[in-house]
Amino acid sequence: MSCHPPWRRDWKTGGPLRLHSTMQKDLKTHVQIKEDLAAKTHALGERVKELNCLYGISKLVDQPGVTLEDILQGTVNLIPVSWQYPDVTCARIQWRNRSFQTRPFQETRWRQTADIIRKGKTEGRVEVFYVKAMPRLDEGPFLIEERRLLDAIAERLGKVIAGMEAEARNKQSEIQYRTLVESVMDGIAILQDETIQFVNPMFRSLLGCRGSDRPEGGDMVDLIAPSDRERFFEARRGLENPLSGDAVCEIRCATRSGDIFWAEARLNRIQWNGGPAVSVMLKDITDRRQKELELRRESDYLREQNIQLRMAMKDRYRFGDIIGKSPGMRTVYELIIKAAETDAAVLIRGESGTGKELAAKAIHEQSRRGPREFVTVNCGAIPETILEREFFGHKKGAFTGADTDINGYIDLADQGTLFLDEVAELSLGMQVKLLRVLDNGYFNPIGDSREKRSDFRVVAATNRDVTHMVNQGRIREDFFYRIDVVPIHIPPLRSRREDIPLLIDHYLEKFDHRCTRIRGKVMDIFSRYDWPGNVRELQNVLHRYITLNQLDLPGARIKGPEPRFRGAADSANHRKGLEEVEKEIIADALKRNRWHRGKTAAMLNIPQRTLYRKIKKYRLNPA
Amino acid sequence: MNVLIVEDEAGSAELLEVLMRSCGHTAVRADTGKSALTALRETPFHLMLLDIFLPDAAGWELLPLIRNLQPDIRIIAMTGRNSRELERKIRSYGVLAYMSKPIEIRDIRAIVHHISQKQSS
Repeated sequence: MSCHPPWRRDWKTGGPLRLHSTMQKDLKTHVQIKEDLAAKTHALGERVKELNCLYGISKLVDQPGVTLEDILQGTVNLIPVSWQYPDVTCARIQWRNRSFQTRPFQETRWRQTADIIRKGKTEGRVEVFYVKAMPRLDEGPFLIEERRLLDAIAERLGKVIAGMEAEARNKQSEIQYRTLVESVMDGIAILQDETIQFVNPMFRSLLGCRGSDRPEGGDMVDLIAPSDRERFFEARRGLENPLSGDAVCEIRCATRSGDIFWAEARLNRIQWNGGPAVSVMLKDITDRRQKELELRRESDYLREQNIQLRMAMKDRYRFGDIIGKSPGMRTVYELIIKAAETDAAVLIRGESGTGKELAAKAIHEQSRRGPREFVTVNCGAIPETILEREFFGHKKGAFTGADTDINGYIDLADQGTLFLDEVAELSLGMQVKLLRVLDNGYFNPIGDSREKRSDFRVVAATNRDVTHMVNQGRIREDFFYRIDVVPIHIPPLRSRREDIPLLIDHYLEKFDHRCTRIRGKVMDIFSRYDWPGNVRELQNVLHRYITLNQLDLPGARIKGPEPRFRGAADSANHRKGLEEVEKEIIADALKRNRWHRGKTAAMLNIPQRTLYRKIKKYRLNPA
Repeated sequence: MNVLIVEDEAGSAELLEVLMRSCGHTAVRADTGKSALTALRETPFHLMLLDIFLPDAAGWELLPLIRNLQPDIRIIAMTGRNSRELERKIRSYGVLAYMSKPIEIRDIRAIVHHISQKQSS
């Protein structure tokens, strides 16, 4: 009995398969096994169906250009074959008022449903119906596996819908972005991993791309001048800081034809095609840089000039025709330069004869308005009745005595400087009128309804105590503050006696009287006098002294020096009119030199042209 | 005050002369540029009424010569026709007033009065 083949042994006991006694039992087990197997095979089949179904949905989704409608319809069609009884199965997917069904379709009471959920909300439903009654199983006529499959399908659809909607949104914003970007005036390029993904038409134009030339696919860095690349990288690195906004840098870029232009590049972090990218906004700033360079060069030049002037200031003893080395005058020179730098109104204060007009002229000449008009108005000399007319002008026919248009000071001073001498003499009414022009920049000529514009710079001067006058109400406060922006005070001559010798030297040279020397006692008198009339008085006294040989100052009456050359003047040692003396001297010198003008001029120590002038003046001739 | 009237139109010149006299001033008339300069060489004047367009000279030619001869003389310039450039040139010599012809009597009187007032103060 032990020689039974293995398959005939009872695998439990190892003994022979007792067909007879356990036959029934074994048969039953066998059948059971077969049934089990069949069931399991069936189940496996169903599993496969399930997998097939889900796989089918995946294939649907992956189709290029597939719409959500396609997917839902396709899915619903996949359902019957995945169920136990395909012939009696129909299905429906409902989503947002839309309905997708199999054909044929019938709604019955034998159904399974599963909700399509997106973001926790039910957006739709998948339903499976049996068109007729089928044997009852786990869930009515449906298998548990089918339940699971339906849930899986619903879940899948939920995800697919969400995914497709996100993609649509992206596409929408991408389209919007693209439209915006096309129309923007700056060049825009989108970079991802260094490569240019997208450019707008402006960018192409900036780079000089023609026709089918496409920068896309190229490397942004290739477009940047090598020396500026580091700057670009630095800006890019700056973007890595999540807290930073955009990054800007100025770089030189090359066009396709090799031209270089300066550009301002503004970098930003953006999302592009679902991934991080960098947007680069490019603006051509060549013009701006050019202007900046010019401005910088000009301001450097001006600063240089200014520095030079200031350095020379320390040893300066004159400023054009303004003479003086005293600290007071050096301050005046500084202020003149400072005033010349801007268009600010200047008020020059100083006693009569201190050279206020000279200072005003100097400011004008040093300023940017130097090449333009310097218009002087003596506010004290012109009567009130015609002052307004003189300032603003009038139109032809404005009154009976007006055959023609008169322009007026303010119009003539357009682009230039208006010098208001003796400004404190202006009436209150005139102050108001002027203030209006100063504030507005336009005025009405008398008899003209149309406004005229004038861009002028004001320099005013006065020898009055303006502060006192403001307090008294003789000068309006608002007018005063309008003109007193840069105050310059020219000190009286007696406050700067060290300047007297310099002034004397200057005038001697000016009067062609270098032959005269002022020194010793005479210089002493000049230096100690108080000069109430300041420089003008000095000039007049000096002139009288050298021409009339007489010094007329209170407390001093001194005869003048002997002229260097002797001759007719020596013998005629009595008072004669200046011109008689001079005429004699010149005539004598001419005779001595046999009318050789060059030699005569040299002998008299005067320039030849001065000699010619004198000859003409005195009507001298060789006869 | 001594006033020099430089005007080639006899009627206007006479009118101005009478006006000056009536204000208590002395007046001399000149009807050409040359005669004006001669007058300036001989006598000091406080005020000059100058017609810009004279038969032998134009205002802008005379003015530098006038300034040379009598630097402090006050000048009222008169003109029958004007342009911006002309006005600019004439005013650059520091004229007291620049007036369109025909001259208003009261304007001249006001100026003269103003000047003599300033002189006395």
